[in-house]
Amino acid sequence: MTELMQTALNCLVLSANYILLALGLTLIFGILRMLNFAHGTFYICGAYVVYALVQKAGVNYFLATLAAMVVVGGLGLLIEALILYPLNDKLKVASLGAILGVSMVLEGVLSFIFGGEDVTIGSYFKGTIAIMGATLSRERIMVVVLCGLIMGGVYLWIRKTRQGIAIRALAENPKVASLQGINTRSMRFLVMGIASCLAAFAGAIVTPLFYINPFMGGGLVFKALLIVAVGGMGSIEGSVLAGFLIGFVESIGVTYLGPIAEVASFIIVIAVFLFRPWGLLGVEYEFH
Amino acid sequence: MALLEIKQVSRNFKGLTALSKIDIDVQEGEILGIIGPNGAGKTTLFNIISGFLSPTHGEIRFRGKNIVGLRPDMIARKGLVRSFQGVGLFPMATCLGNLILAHHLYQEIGFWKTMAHTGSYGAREKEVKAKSLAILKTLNLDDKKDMAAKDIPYGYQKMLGIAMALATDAQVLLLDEPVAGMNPPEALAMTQEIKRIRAELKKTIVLVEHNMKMVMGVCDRIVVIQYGLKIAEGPPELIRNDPQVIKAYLGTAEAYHDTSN
Amino acid sequence: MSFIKRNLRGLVFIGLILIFILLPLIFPNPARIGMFIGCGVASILAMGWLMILRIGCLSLGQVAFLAIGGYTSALLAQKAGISPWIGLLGGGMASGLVALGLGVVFLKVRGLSLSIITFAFAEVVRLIISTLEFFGGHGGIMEIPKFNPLLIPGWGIVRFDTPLSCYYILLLILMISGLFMWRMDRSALGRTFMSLPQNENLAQSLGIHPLRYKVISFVTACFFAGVAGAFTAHYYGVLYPGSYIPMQSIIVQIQGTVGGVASVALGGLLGGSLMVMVESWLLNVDARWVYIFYGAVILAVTFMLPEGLLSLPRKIKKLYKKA
Repeated sequence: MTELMQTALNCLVLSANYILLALGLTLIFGILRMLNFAHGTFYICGAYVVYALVQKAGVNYFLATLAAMVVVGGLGLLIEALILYPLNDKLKVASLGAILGVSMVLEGVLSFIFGGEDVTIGSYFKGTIAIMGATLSRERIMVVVLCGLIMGGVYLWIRKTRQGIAIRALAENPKVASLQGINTRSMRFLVMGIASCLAAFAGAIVTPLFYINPFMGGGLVFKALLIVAVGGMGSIEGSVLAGFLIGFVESIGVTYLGPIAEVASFIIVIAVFLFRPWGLLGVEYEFH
Repeated sequence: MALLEIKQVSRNFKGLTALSKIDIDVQEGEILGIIGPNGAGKTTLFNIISGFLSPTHGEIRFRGKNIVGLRPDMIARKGLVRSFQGVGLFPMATCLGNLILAHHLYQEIGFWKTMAHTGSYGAREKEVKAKSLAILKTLNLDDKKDMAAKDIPYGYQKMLGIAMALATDAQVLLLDEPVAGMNPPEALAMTQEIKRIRAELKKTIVLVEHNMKMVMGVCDRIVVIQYGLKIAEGPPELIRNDPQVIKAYLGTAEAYHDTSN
Repeated sequence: MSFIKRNLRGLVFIGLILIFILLPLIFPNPARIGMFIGCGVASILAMGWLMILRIGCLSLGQVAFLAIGGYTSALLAQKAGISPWIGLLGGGMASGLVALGLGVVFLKVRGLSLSIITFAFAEVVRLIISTLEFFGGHGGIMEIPKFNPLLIPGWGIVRFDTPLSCYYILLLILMISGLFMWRMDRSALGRTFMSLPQNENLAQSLGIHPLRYKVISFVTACFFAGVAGAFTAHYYGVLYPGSYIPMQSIIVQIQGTVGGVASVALGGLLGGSLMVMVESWLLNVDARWVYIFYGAVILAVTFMLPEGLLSLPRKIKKLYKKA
């Protein structure tokens, strides 16, 4: 029983992580029409800010997390202003190359500052609690809860606030949206900022749980890509659903089937992009 | 037997009927015009004939053989070629490059021969280049031969598009709005060219157009399509006086005469 | 003068090849020769990448074909005792066949979807070779037979166990692939390739079968990548799945982009060689610079010279004309 619950909890942690990343990616894709390959690096940057502040400067963990969100959010805004917006009307390959370049530069810089080895910080919420007879790590439960809160917040924001509605309008039909007075430029900034914050938050809260190194970003963003692909570009619900699915496949699949389960995830990506590039739950539209 | 027979062609898109039981026979050597309000299904019909779309029902026979289900490039190989609305060129290629590409069917002699430049490869390359230069000259484009096709004036672009369709040596040309966006002198030049293509080169032409003056002036027969249905067919005099057509599309006789631009 | 102008690129290419032949004699240091070999392999990959770009596909998974070629040749040598020389061809053919099978399915898709698919495929290959015992798992394959000596008429028995001798093997492979891809690029085939991303519908309507041409380009590029991969297997004697991480495919893209889209062969050669040389130098200084280097390069190229170094002469001429 304990083992089952622990596996379930691990699955939730993984899913929550992926969902936060996928949400950011999907937002960025919807508004900037670009796949943010640097998203994984934002995640890692967030983790490293927390590591640096907590481990080296003794800053409180929550404050460090907030700082991470601010720093990486700012980074996202900077990238949008200096790199993505100027390249907006050039070919998509240009922004793809540029964002890959950004991600590589960031990873290189991180490896200079922090070295290439894996690091971690200790648990913040120490200890375990017993639920239904199973011993579960407090840390992991808190991670899932916090992620859930943030996800709920994002969902409400998208659905209920003016900005959220504006974003959905812009994602669906940029021309009409701008005729309605929606300022594309500021929306881009908003989305980029929020998405980077989400990525930073996701990175920050798992720092106590996992080891990090500067080069993990690549693997992560590809998983997140998978999720967005399966769930549907631009679909929030899709990202959530797919995040659970992939988290499940990975935690359960890898535990019982070994690393070959990862291959299954990539085959899913291929299949989705071959036959339904708008994802399982996305809205069908001209993808390129 | 008609050169091109469109038999009972229908096409549905998720519950929307774009075309319904269209029957058209195109005789060899004629110029047939297809007119109708926007959204009537004219471009859909062209897409079906040239193989870019398949009909939900019906057949298309070219020289007696059914061509439904064939790929567009195979249909082009059989001798039926179309021009495109809007951008009908390779925008980044030069004008010369565009025309050379249009001779693809002539130049396609097999992978290894092309790689080794053996056999007729060299000779054909020279031939194609010379032909293309000659065509550019007749179009008055030889001073622009090295310009990117997207940079030449619009009227020239349309002419180049037609020239490319001709270069394929196809027997039947489907022209999608050949004079769209042209001013009167350009439209006139295009009309003369279309007449010449039929008279001198003995091609069969089917065209879709909105410019009534041009259509009435150049077509032997006209087919009128509205809401996916063929509502009239016949020579220009018959069509311009058909009450149904007038109601659906042309407006009153006076209004028609005013569409002189 | 006119002959030189018309065939300028070809002559430059031949000139470069001559330089490459003399290079290891000028720099006999084995480490240097090792770097030159790296340049050669990178060039072949970059050329293939540019060839695929011609048809409108941005491949993010070229190293997968390096892996397929390498592992095929290595396993043929180890398990079936096949000579590495045949293995070169075997590796190429394996890559080519896989590319063929995939191409007819994948190349129907366009744009970003296709890029993502190539990337996902590369990861699938990497995961398979690092997991299955048959492929050596995480540790890779060791003790791969090197190139066996050949009896060359007129020279006697020639041994190929030094970096210098292997350099010339690679040079031969580079020349063959370069010339093949150059010829393809400059012929009617290359012309047809380039028409596809511009207006595929029009191409079809002119009798061009898009899939056929896309597959030809793709298979050619991957075939030569496979041969290069087989070469690395027998030169280094080991194969390690970590060499085929996504970052490496992105590096191929950067090398190709930096080289220049104007000419597949020359662009690939230029981009591959130049980048590897700088990368090698940086690895000696501090390995961490490599990431920053490649990132900075692609950013610089994207903003300042999007068509690569080959477009530099043209741009300078334009500035000159304005002045």
